[in-house]
Amino acid sequence: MTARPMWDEISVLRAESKVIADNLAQLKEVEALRDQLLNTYNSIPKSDIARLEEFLPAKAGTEDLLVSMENFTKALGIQLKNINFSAVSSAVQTLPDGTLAPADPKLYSTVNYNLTVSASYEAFRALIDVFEKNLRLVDVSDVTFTSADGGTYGFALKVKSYYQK
Amino acid sequence: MPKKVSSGMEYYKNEGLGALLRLSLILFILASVLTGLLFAYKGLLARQLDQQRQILSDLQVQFEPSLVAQLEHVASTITNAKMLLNKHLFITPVFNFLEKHTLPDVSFSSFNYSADKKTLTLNGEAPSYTEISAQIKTFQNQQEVAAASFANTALRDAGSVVFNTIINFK
Repeated sequence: MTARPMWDEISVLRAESKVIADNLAQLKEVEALRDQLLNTYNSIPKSDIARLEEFLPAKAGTEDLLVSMENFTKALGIQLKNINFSAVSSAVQTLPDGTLAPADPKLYSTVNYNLTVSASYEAFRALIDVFEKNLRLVDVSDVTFTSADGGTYGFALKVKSYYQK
Repeated sequence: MPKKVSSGMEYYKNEGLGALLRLSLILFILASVLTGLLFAYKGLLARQLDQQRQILSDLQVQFEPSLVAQLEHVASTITNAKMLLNKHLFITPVFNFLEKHTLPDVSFSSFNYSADKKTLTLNGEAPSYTEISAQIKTFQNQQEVAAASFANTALRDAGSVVFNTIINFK
């Protein structure tokens, strides 16, 4: 009379034990992977991690970009006539069928902005050089300028920078 | 007085009851032993299960979800950084190209470059139509140029010729 219910309980315990054993086995594998990842992470110098965070910051940081642009232009004697940040575009990914998928937090997002500067050709070339070598990426996608008297030109630039949440 | 001999039927009747009793006893003992074993097994299983749960719980604590999230973030940042570096836009080569391959008597008054389209549009001025032709051929002959063309040529009062040119880079 008591054996049957007890056997049923044992069956439940065995099933639960099997599930936990399977989970443990999986966790052990994941643990090994995590240890491997941690070792790799620990082998990266902290200064490089800091540079990586500057290269691709966690926020759009338009305020910081504004300060950077002023510093770059001031250092070269260039007049920063205006700077406008357009809406930040979230990360999207293209699916195999060509459609765009919702934002994936692991993908980067883009900050689009326009600059107008007044400078000599040589100073402008130096500014482009600074942009191209800047740690936080500054991609100049469009440049327009027209010649002017006195050796000073008006340059209009479309620029992109990036961040990752 | 002669002894009364018991009948065989009584004898077997007594023996039958005894065997049944013994059989019942054996079965009872077996059932008790089995129940005892099951009880012990159940206890063993329950203890094993507790141990497994404890190990699982310890492992989950060791995993530190915040650390895993941080590692994941750094890994995806490195992947994205590589991707962005690979497609980083450099427009300096366009200026270098123009400075190197513009003929001495030709000048450009406006410049428009689109990195996405790899297209440079210029408004220029040359001393003659022949010089415009030479300039376009010079552009076309460069290995980094996919196509170069001109349009809207017009003679100015001063005798020079203005023109537009579009250069498509590879």
